[in-house]
Amino acid sequence: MKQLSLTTYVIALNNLRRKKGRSLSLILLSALFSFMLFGGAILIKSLENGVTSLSNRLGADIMAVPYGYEADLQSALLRGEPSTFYFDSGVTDDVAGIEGVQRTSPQIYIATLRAGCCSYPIQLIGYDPETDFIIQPWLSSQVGDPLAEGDIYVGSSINAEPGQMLKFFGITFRVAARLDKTGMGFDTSVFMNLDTARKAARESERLQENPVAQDENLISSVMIKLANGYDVKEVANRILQAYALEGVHVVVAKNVISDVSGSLNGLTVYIVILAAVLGVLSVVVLGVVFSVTFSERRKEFSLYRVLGATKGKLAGLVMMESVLISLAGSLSGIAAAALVVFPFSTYIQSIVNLPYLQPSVGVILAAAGISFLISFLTGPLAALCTALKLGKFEIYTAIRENE
Amino acid sequence: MKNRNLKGLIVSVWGLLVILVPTVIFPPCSHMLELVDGGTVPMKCFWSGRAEIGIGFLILCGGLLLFFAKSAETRKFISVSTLLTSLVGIAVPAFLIGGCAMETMTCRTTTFPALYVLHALLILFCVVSFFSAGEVGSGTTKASL
Amino acid sequence: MMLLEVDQLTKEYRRGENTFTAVDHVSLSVAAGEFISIIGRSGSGKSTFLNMLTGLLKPTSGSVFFDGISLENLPDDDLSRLRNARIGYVPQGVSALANFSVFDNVRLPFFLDKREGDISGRASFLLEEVGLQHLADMYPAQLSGGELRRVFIARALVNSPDILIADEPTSDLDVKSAAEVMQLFSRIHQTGTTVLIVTHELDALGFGNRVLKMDSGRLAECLSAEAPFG
Repeated sequence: MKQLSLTTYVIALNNLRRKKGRSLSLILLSALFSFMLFGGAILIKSLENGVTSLSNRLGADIMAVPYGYEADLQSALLRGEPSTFYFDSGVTDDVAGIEGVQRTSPQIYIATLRAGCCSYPIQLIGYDPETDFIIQPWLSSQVGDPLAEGDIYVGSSINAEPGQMLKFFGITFRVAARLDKTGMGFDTSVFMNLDTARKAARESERLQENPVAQDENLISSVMIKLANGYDVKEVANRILQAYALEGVHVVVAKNVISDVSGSLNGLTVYIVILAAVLGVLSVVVLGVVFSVTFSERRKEFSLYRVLGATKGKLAGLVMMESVLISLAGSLSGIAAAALVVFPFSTYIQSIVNLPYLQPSVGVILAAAGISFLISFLTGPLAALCTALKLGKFEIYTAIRENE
Repeated sequence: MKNRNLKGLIVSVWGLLVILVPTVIFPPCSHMLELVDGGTVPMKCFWSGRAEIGIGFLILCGGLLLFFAKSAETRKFISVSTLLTSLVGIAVPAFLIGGCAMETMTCRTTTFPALYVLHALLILFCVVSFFSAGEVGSGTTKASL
Repeated sequence: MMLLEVDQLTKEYRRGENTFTAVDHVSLSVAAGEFISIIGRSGSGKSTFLNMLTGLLKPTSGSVFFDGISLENLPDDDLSRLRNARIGYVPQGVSALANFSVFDNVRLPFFLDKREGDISGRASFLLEEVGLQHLADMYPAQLSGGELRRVFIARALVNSPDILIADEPTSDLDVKSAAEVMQLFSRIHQTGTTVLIVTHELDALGFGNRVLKMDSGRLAECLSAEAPFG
C-alpha cells in the first residue's frame, strides 16, 4: 500500500477524485473560459497583425481599376481570390499626368484555372520592376536581384522552394524566392514581371481565352502614389473626373484598410464580450457550486474540525480544491485552444475572411501566460467566499443538523 | 466500467475518428488533377486520405486489443504499436505521401490539421497508457489516472 | 492534578421567550486512568456536555480545565490542536470521511496538524487492535456499523490522546457488535488511556470504575453501579 502523506494537497485531490462528475464539470467550465480567453486573444492578435501587415504592404494610396471591378481588386488583395480584369495600358501614363500623383506602376492579374501544383486557382501578378514601388520594397529585404524573365516569386502559402520549377499553363517557371507570410492575398499569389505575365497569358489561351494574349497593351490596375501634401480624396476625384468615362475607377487604400479594421473591431468586441460573459459565468457558477457543496459538506467539514483541524487548515483544504480545479481547467483549456487555433489557422482565416497573420512566439507565449493567470484566478476567487464562511460556522450545530 | 476497458474504448473511438476525418468530417480536396495528355488522376491528398483510413483501422484494432488485454506487458506492447501507428499517421500526410502544395487547399486547412491533432493526442494517450499499465509480470493492472 | 476538571458547567439555549437549560451547573473531576460511563436518556444533555468538554461548544457559564488548561480563554487554533493531539473523540453516529479508505480515515488526524514522520505503522497497529486490518483498503460505505465504530475508535486513538471520549458509541449497533465495542473500550482502558463514554443504553454497565447518571442537565454519581436507576 502507498504510504502517501495526507497533506492538504493529497486530501483535496482525493476529495476531487472521489467526486468525479462534479470535479470534471467544474474543470470543464474553467477550461471553457481559458479556451475562450486564449483562443480569442490569438484570434484578435492575428487579425490585428493582418491589418498591420495590410497597411504596411499596401504601399499605394490609390489603385486605378476598370470600372465595376473595385470589389474584385479588394478580394484579390485581401484574400487572393483570383480575378481577371483589364483596361488599356495607356491609363498608366494618363493617371501619371494628374496633379498630385507622384508615381504610377501598372500590374497585370491573371487567374489560373488550375496550376500544375494543384487544381486550385492562383492569382498571377505581373508587375513592372522599373516603376514598381509596392512589391519590390517589401521583397528586397528578402530577395536580392530583381526578377529575370521566367522567374517568379511565390507567396508563402505555395509550397515551393527557391530553385524549384513550377508549371503554370504549361510554362515552366523558376522559383526565385518564397515570400514571407503576409496574412493577405499575396500569400496565394505568384509574382512575375510584365513580360513573363504576358507570356503566361498567351499560353493560357490553350485552356481559356485571355484578352492579354491578343492585346499586348492591356493591364489590370495602376498603383498610384501621391506626392506629399495632397489629399487622397481630392486626387481620387480628379482621376475620376478625368477618366471615369473611359472606364477607369479608383479604390482608395485607406478605405480598404479602414473597412477591414472596421470588421476587425466588430469581431473584437464580440470576442471580448463573449470572454467577459464566460469569465463572469465561470466565477459565479464556481462560486455557487462551492457554496452549495459547502452546505452539502457541512458534516464533512465539521468532522475535520472535530478531529482537530484548525479553521485555517479547513480553509486551506477548500482553497486547494479550487486551485486544483482551476489549474486543471485552465491548462487543458489553453492546450485545447492551441490545438484548434494553430493547426487550423488557415481554415480560420478562410472563415473570418480577413487578413490574418499569426503573432510571434513571444506574443503567443505572453497571451498564453495572461490567459492562464486570469482563468486560473477565477477558481480561488470563487472559493474565497466559502473559505471565509468556514471560519465562522458552528461545529456543534453542523454535526447536529445531519443527525 | 474498468479503467483499462475505458482506455481501449477511447483508442477505438480515436481510430474511428481517424477513419472518419478523411471520409466524412473533413474530406480532402475532391478535384482530379488534369494531366497534359487530358487524363485525370486524383491528387496526392486523396491518397493520403486513403492511407489514413487504413491507419485508422489499425488504431481501432489496437483499441479493441487493449480492451481485452489483461497483462501489463501486453498492454505496454499494444500502447507502443499504437503509438508507432500514429506516428506513421502523421508521417503520411506530412511527407510520406503529402498533399497539395497550396496551403489554402482543403486538405491543408482542415483534413491534415485534424489528423495531426488526433494523432498527437493519441500519441500522448499511448505514452500515459504505457506508463500506467502497471508492473510487468504482476499480471494485473493497477487503477490509475 | 486532575486530567479533566469541570466546574459549574452550564449551557442554556433560548427558545423564543423561554430559556432551556441543557446542562445545569455540572461539576466533574476525572483523574488520569479512570473509566467513566455517563448514562442518561435522550435529551438529558449528555451530548451538549461532551461538546463543551471537547471545546466544540462554548458554555454559558462555568469552566472546563484540561490538564490545568482553561478551555474558556484558549484561542481557537490552540483549542483545535489540543483536540487533535490530546483528546480522542468518537462523535455520535457515522462520522466517516467517505472519500477516504479505512486506513486513511485512521491516519487522517495525524496529518491535520503539522507533524513530522509517518503514522502508517501506528495506523496499521490500531487497525490490527480493533481487528480490521483486513479491511484497511476498503471504503467506509463497504463496512458495517459495528466495523465503522471500531474504525472511529482507532482513528480517535491515532495521536495517542490522553483521553478517549465517545458519544453513544453503541446506540445504533446490534447486541453482539455493541458488546465487542464495549470490550474494546475496556482493553483500551487497560493500556492506560482514560476513557469517558456517554450512552443511553445499559451496555455500559459493568464497564468502568465510575458510573454517572445525567438527568435533565444535572449529573449525579451513582453509588451503586448495579442499580443506576434505583
